[in-house]
Amino acid sequence: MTLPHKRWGVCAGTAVFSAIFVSAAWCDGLATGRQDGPTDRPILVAEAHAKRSSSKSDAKPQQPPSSTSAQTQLPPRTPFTAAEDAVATIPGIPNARFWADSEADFKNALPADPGPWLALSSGGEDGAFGAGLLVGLSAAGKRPDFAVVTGVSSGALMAPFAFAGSRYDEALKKAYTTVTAADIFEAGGSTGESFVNSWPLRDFIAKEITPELIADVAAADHAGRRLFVVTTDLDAERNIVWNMGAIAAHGGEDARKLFVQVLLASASVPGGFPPVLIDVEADGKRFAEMHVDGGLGGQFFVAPHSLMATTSDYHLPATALYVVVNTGLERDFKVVDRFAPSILTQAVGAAVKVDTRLMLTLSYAVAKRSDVPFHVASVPPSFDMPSQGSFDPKYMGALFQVGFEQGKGENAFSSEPPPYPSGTPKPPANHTEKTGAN
Amino acid sequence: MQRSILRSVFIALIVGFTATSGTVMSAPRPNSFDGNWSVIIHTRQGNCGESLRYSVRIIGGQVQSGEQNYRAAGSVSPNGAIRVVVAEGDRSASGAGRLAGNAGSGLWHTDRGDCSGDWTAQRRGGDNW
Repeated sequence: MTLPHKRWGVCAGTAVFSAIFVSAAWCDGLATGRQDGPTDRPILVAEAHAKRSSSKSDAKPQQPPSSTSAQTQLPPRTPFTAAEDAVATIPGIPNARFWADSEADFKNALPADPGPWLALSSGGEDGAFGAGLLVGLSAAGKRPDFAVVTGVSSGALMAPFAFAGSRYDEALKKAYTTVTAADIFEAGGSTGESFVNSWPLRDFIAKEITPELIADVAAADHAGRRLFVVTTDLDAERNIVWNMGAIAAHGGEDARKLFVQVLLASASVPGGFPPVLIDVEADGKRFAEMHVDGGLGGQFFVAPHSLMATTSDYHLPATALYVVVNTGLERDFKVVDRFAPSILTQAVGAAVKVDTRLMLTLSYAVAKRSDVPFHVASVPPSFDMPSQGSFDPKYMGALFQVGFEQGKGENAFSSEPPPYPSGTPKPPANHTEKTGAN
Repeated sequence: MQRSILRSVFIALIVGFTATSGTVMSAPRPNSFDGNWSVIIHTRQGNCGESLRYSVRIIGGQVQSGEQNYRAAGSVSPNGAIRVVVAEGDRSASGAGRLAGNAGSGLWHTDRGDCSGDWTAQRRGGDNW
């Protein structure tokens, strides 16, 4: 009941806006269809049907469903103003979050004592690299006890495990080496807000984020460490930093649900996956904000951009800054099809790499002026294993191993951002590009 | 605008189910398997990807896709036997199996014989979130 994925290589190499999943959706579509053009598809389906039914003289073509569609009518949203959204809080958990551009709130949320910080970037299935790196650091006995861990998109999904410590390494490895596309999305189940439905990922997160893990996150928060996850409030066009330790410390089913919602939202590429509606309250009025992938505001998070700016004199209250980039940063050459998803995938993929590099440059600059050691790791250019599809366990397992060996080795991190590419881009491996270049 | 174009393109490409029986849908009879199902396709032999999940709806014993915009069909008999043909480009694959209660399973193979595997299905209710 499935078909070969001849086109995986076209777009599996690019996860839109940093994260995961639009590439999966697009690749899925491409893999099951087009060879010569998007308009071929309905005709070919009809032809195939005719071929199958030609032996039956009374066979009649099946009509596409009309009013019987499973696509549901979504309820209208409660209207609210920018002023209301600006002061909205999570009912019962007032310290659950703050605007990512709020310098004061950011400083107030930081630990009292400085320590090493870890920023985990977007990257979709290439998050297997970061997961492997963290586990490799543990294996070598050199993983710092991070005072602050931040996560965006795929980085957000691994952040609770990284924050809670090496006792979750096996769970982290399992999550990034055994997952398949079926665990992430469902095709054909769109609510009208996106290409695919993400309920499998939601359920996967809910399963992996165990009560024990939430309790450990809460305990670490109580001990003065901080776990931050970034989403994008699409209504406000602003990023929000979620204080996951505060949410975990609140406890209860509402907090657990919010914890999962935030992780899902952070990894929900708009258009690819449905947005996540999060209930908030402002001046006694309840409404729901629309949250999407945190990568819209940068592929990883260190501090508000105004504090990161080269014009700022802000000093990071950290003893070291570690950045794990769950992507390769080299250009990937391909002759792009004259086809909207291919064009957008390649275009956004290129933009994500540029954004990641600029963020790295900014992070390096703020670390340098803060006299804070800078450490960065990214998917090595030498890794060019092609993927057989989105969330290909073999591919992810291989990338995990690359990260593991790097983390365990002597040179897990570089002290400067990777050099900017120059000259001719690297050719694709075996005419098939690796998955998740972002 | 861009979004709607992408959506249309995607949905048009994503997958198509075609009926094996040619049964006309105009007068569907209620079937105990009617409802929304989530089907996971596993490839066990051949280079056809690992696992993918699709939304499928059954109405009056007829299999349809979970989307309005692409074709979907197939048939389920009252005893749960199900047969489906999936077409992609110039290729097609056949699947057969059985539904029982809120679950189902079966086998599939491409008509060229280069890939085969199994599938599982679960009935889905409404989402709570």
